[in-house]
Amino acid sequence: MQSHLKNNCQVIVSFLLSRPYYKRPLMKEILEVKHIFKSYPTKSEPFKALDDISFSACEGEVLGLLGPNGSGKTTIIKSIASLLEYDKGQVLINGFDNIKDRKKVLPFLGAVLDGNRNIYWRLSVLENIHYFAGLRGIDKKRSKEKINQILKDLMLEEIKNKEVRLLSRGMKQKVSIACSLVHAPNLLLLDEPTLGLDIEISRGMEKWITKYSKEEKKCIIVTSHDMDFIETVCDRVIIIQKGKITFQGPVKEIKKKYHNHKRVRITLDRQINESFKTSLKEICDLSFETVEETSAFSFKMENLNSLPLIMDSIKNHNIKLQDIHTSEDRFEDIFMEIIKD
Amino acid sequence: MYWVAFKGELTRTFIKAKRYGFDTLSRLLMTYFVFIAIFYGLKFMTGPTLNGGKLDELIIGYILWTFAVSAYFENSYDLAEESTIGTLEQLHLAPIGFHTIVLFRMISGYLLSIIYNISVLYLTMLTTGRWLDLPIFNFLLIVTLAIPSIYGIGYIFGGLALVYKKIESSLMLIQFILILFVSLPAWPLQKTSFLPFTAGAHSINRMVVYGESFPVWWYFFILGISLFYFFLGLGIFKLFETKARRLNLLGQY
Ligand SMILES: Nc1ncnc2c1ncn2[C@@H]1O[C@H](COP(=O)(O)OP(=O)(O)OP(=O)(O)O)[C@@H](O)[C@H]1O
Ligand SMILES: [Mg+2]
Repeated sequence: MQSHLKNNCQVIVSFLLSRPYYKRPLMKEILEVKHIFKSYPTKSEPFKALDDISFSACEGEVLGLLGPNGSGKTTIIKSIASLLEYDKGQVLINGFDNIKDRKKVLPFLGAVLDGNRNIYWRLSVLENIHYFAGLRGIDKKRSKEKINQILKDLMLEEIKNKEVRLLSRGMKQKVSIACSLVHAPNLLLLDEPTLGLDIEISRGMEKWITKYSKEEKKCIIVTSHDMDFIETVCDRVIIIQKGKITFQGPVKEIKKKYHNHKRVRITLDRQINESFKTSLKEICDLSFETVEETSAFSFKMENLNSLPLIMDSIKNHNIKLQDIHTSEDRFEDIFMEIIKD
Repeated sequence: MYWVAFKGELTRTFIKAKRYGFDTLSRLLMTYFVFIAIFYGLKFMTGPTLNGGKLDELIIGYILWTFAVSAYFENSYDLAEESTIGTLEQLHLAPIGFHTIVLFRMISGYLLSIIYNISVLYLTMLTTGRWLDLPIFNFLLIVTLAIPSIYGIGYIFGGLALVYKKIESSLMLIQFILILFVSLPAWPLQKTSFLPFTAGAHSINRMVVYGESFPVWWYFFILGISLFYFFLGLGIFKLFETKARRLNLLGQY
């Protein structure tokens, strides 16, 4: 009875939260990018790196920028951080223009671009953190507790006195992030934070990003080519292609919108021949992914409705089923599908 | 806020000197050996007739040149190097402003080079037993007034490096031009007095070697010329910086 009630409540709450006009006032908007254009001069006509980019982001939100190489992700990040001059448009951070009110914006902002090169390799981890804290007027003695907390969160405690050049790439990446956290920025920009990280550190990074955004109500913008990472950490993604936004929305919505295929892999006790394959194709419109030399084959279908028919056909051919495995389309596949068209 | 940042910068400069221990040491040794060479080599070449004044002049000239070269490299080389790594971008994200940081850097580097140069000078005097009558306060005062002009030159090449990245060879070339600036005459007022650093360098020479003293306006003249080149360099640097920002070159390699 009680759990029933709880379930009902949950349904109502999630229904309310899913409605835009309830959602909006809950979160404060931190970043607003309005119609940004950027082009680079080339010998012929100018190359358009950003072509009318607009989006916004709220506190407590992790926003992912996705797109093929050279699509303009880094250019967007740098434009927000005003590390490059965009041609047209406006970026507001906490309501301030990032060019005109740069001095007011910078205290809210942290950015890690090309993480392992953002720091001084000849200084130790702690010396780097102290240096960048100092640049922001933060005294190392008075912020000792905070710095210790950052070191702990990013699991850098043990190596804090090591010279950065002696650390691995992943460690350097984390040190860079630590350096841009000392002033507790409301808006943190991370350009490819998982580049070259092993799975363990990458998972640690995922946990940390989620924790930092949710518990401390910070807004984080990440770019990455690691779709599993994006799917895990991002509340919302923006897909960029050739300097244009081609899609934006919550990860869940993308999955829903781009019809979710089922992927089925069947292993039989003998090799399949062409006639069997043709007979399978007659059952329903399968798109075969792989017909391997071995006895296994896999295909995609929109739902599992015709699976019994396939089973029947297998049975009719006197073939024995050894294994069957179904999985959903991964986010990566959906992403590939979106950027294809 | 500024004080904390300055302290941080000073710490970084000294830690870096410590970490590059071998490099620091070889720089010091090199200066030391050049001094020794000047002392003995010249005596050997020219025989006992070499007049004391000429020798002192050379020593002072050399030490001034060392000051100038380290000030110049401090600025241009560091900027060039950091524009190829990502740290320059991080410096641009600090609210106190990139140019303030660079200024703090110059001051830190200058303090360090005073320590280097003066200690090497005294070490040489100790080994050779030949003591220059060095009015240290006046000496440092004039160097301090004149050195911003060299930072100005450093700015220009730092700016070039931001946009064109690989400029090491022209960086090296300037070293030799600095020899010229250090050794040309400037007092009393003449055309060459208007070159960067020249007025300061020549005055120090006259002061140490011939015990000459100068009117107050001359000190202001040195400072004026110096600041002129400093701000000229800074202005040019800012132009390059704007260009780098437009072409997305602040942290690109
Ligand atoms: N300094 C520059 N001069 C000319 N073109 C540039 C410059 N910097 C970037 N570009 C171009 O702008 C486009 C966008 O680059 P950007 O670095 O934003 O891509 P990205 O999405 O971050 O790619 P990646 O996934 O490879 O990091 C690219 O086509 C690139 O060639
Ligand atoms: Mg990029």
